[in-house]
Order: sequence, then C-alpha cells, then structure tokens
Amino acid sequence: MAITVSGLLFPTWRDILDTSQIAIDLDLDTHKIALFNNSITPNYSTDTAYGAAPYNANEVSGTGWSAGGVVVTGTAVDESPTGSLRWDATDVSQATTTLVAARGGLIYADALADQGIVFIDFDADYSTTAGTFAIVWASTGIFAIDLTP
Amino acid sequence: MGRREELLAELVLVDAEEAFMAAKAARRENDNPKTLAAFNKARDALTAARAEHRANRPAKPAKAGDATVSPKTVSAKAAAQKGAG
Repeated sequence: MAITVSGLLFPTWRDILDTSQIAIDLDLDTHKIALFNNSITPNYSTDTAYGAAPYNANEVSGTGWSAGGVVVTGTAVDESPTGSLRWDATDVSQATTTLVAARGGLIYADALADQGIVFIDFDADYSTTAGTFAIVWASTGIFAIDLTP
Repeated sequence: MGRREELLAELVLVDAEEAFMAAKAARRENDNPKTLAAFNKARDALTAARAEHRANRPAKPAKAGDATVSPKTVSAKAAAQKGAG
C-alpha cells in the first residue's frame, strides 16, 4: 500500500468525453486539493472521487487544514508547449497548519460530486507544525496532456 | 534578482491573477467574442507573469514547521503513435 506515481483519474476523463458528458470545468476556482498519507494506493484506472475508496480514508488534516482540503484558485487551461493542454493554478499556501505526513494530494471537483481529476504524488512525506503548507506548482503546470501526433 | 525586482514581479503576478479572475467572471456572465478575447488576453498575461515569477522566485528559507511541496507536472500522452501498428 503506497503512493508511487501521479496520474489522471481515467474514469473521470472517460466520462467527460463519452455519453456521460460530465461537466468538469477546469476554469472553475472551486476545485479542492485534499491530502493523503502513504497508506493509500491510487488506481488510476478505477478511482473515481474524493470520498470513494481509496480517498475515503487516510486523509491528512489538522489545524489549519480541514478534511476535504483547500480550494485551488487561479486555474487556467492553455497550450504549452505547442500541442499540449496544460492546466495550471496559483500556488497553494495555507498558513498556520499542523499536518502529519502528507504524501500526496487529490484535486477534485468540489462542485461536481467530488469527482476526482488528478492525484499528485509528493514523492516524500511532508509535515508542518504551526507552519505554512505550500504547494509550488511546476512552471509546466499541474498536469499536461500531450496531444501532438 | 534584488528585493525590489522580486516585489515588482510579485505585484505583476497578483495584478495578472486579479485581471484573469475578472475576465473569467465576465466571460461566464456574458459569453461573446469580446469577453472571450479579453479572457484569452488575460490568461496569456497571467501565464507570462507566472513564468516570470517562477523563474525568478528566490528559494525562501522555510521557517521551522513549514513544508513546501514542489511536485512535478503530471504528464499524459494522448497522441497516436506514428508508423505501422
């Protein structure tokens, strides 16, 4: 049981494109990121939502960071590099938190049945003690889908 | 980069983020070519401001008790492969 890699949640992306036509709007500023410890094992082929296994246990929360996580703001979709769809957002910075061993974060659609979008592997455990928990997104964004042939 | 330049880059980023949020709201309120053009312009300005800010961001010494995660971009490849299958 462990987090070993980041990934997009396949069921969500399938349902965006198929008959389900779920309305994930990546421009919304209501999506949230919830933290989890290394006791979960994401399965990107089957995982669906926050609150559904494995994202229904082993959540990291504490002072300054409630269960369910914090809102990801400043979301923007653009093309970068050429032919790739990039999703970016304002860096997360939550002050005065006390958290233990956050190993990864699920970004999910809080306004759409908590549908999971992407899970991010932090590669290590991160803890705070009355301190700021920050997530600094890469210049290449939160995720990028290469659509070039 | 000096402290003054850092602060200016921070201000440019904050302004770009606010302008983008306003353009986003305007587009939702009234989706037409004008709001779309303004949205795209604000988004591109924000992207540029973010790139500048991230490229020149000083490595802040974390206070005791802080944690900063710097995850890699999640990459996916959706393209068809070239050549015979």
